[in-house]
Amino acid sequence: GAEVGGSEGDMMSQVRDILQAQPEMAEVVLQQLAASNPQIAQLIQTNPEAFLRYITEGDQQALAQALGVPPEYIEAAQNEEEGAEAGDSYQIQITPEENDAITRLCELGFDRNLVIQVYFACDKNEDMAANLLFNDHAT
Amino acid sequence: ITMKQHRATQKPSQRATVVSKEERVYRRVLHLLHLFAMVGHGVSRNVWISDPQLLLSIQKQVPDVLKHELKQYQAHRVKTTVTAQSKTRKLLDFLRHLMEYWLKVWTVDFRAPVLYKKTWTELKYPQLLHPSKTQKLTKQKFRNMILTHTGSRDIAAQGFVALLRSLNLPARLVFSIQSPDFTNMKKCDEKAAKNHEADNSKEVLKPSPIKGKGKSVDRILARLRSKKAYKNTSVKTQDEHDDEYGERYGSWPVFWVEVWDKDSKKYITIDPIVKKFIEVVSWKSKLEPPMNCVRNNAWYVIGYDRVGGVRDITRRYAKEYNAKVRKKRITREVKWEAWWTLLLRGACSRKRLKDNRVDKFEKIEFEELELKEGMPANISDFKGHPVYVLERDLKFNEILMPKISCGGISKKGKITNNADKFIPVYKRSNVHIVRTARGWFMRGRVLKMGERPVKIREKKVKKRKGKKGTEDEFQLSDEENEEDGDDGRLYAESQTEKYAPPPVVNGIIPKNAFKNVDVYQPWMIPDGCVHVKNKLAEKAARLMEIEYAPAVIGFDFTGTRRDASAKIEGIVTLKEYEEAVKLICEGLSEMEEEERRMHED
Repeated sequence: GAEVGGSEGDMMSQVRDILQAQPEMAEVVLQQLAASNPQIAQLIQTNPEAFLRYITEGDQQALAQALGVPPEYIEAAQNEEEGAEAGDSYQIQITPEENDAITRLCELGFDRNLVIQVYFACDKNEDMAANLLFNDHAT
Repeated sequence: ITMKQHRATQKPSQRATVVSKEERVYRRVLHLLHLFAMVGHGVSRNVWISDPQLLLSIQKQVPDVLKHELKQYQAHRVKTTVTAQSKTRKLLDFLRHLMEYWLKVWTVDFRAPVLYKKTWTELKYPQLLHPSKTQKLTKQKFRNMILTHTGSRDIAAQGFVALLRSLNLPARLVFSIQSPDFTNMKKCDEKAAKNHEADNSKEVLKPSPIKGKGKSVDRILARLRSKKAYKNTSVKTQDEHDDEYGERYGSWPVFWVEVWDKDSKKYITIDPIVKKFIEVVSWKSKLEPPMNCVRNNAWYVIGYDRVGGVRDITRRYAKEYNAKVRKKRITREVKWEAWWTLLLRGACSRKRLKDNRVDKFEKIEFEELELKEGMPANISDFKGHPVYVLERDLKFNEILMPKISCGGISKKGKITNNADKFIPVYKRSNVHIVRTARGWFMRGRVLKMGERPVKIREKKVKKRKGKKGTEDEFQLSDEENEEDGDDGRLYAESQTEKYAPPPVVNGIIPKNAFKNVDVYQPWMIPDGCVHVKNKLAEKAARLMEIEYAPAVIGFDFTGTRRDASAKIEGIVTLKEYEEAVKLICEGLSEMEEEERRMHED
């Protein structure tokens, strides 16, 4: 997947495109995707829950907002934020939105410190960070 | 679209009709990816049809007559003087009127792409697929289609769910996922691709009288034989058009609707577009296509409710779920069943992960359906059945205990002996795994005194010849792979007891014939000892000159069949040395690291 690094968020946006815009093309696009990004097939097989939640998070949030955001979700995010600040040696101001993004990336099976580094290195582009993590750090 | 050549190079052996192992793996992976994408697609659409603004706009379009009927139904529901049945009746009537309204206003776009089951040949040669309009939907475009009542049959059904939700009815989007069949082991039909090309070139030279691309010879003949050929081919009647559409994409729905009826505590099923039908499924759903249907199968039916709850509801639409449908699903294997459960959890909104009251009613309904299904009618359907088993289908390492049948089936066809007429059926819960003494030891168990084998296996399991079915094998229980020390004598778990390692005497750890300690299970470590798993532990222990033994944790069968090599991980040593050994290990690893750096420089 060398080509993925260049075009940002390519892999993730391709998957989202099948889900939202072109489900009728799914078989064809998935064949190509599995060939060019073996790690995505791997990820879907090993971590289906976190990956599907990650991919559909935008939609799920829209639904949650329409129904009223579940309070436990925001609470959990805030608690984690406090924990990160207390134990860390370097100071980064993380907004709740950024923290949500970081938490989502962590749920894909990556170390929190690594995720924070990559996420900020990618200029807070979540999809790009996810691609980078999968390409370079997936075990 | 450019197709990349990704498949492992296939040897063009003409005779084999069954695909290679790589192709099997490939088909399974694509099946999984497709399930993933489609479950996610359902999430996305379900959210779009819950959009508050869309629902408001739809509500404004609903004719007053229907709004009035809804009010009447709601008034009827709160009455205490009427029966629950009459409330349900009123709801069913109202839903039928809504369906008629939707049918009247909606224009099905027959050129728009729809979801349907594709064959492996079509996936390999996408040129065989019928061309349709390319369509890239956004939430906005989708919204416009719903509000202008134009789009594919799939969008029509999704729009109907939105209509029901706009009237505050608890409507669920039902999605029957059409993933390519991974249990299909037939090779791709290379001829079809060639014929297609030949047909196309012919058409260029001499326009054929029958319109449409990709007609194989068979289909042309079939058309000539049918009455259609005598009619004017250029002007199709609506029925002919529907027939052709159904032939291409299946005349069964992929999306439909369920409405929860609080009075009957049942879901009402509505297919407003394809079958134009309302039912309360009690036994056989009208929406279940036959098992051999090419374009549509109800093998993965998912319900998405309006708060984002996602549930597998295939049981309602698969009359013979245990006997037939289950075997077509990836969930027939324990490992993938767990995967499927996790996938649906990932699709489910966090609010709805826990079951609510409606889910509990539904679960009871599914249990009842399972009981109703009962025993398979065919002998072949017992194979891999989760509840029932025939003695002839037992694996070499399985035994019935107690061997009490729960019924039987009559053999069909010519029967020579009267005793063969009736085949006893057993519960699978009475099937137990039997293992060799060695097999049990690997699981940390040893035979009790004086136990005799319950089953003796013949030396070599004959390879089944010629019987290469189209279906691959799958297991309901774990398979044996330990060859070593196999004398064919098999014992049941009840004949064994937990292994108690011999005690340490005078500071000496008891070892096996190879001067190792077997640690296949945690309780196999002798009392007063520890298992240090570090790779350098043995080196450390030797340096320290303490009592220890390498720990065998299993065997490697990767080499030749007969010689299995012991897998060693760390050592077993006395508890008092644990800290010291770990410290030395650390020191050794630092030294190694330094040496490596020296070499690199």
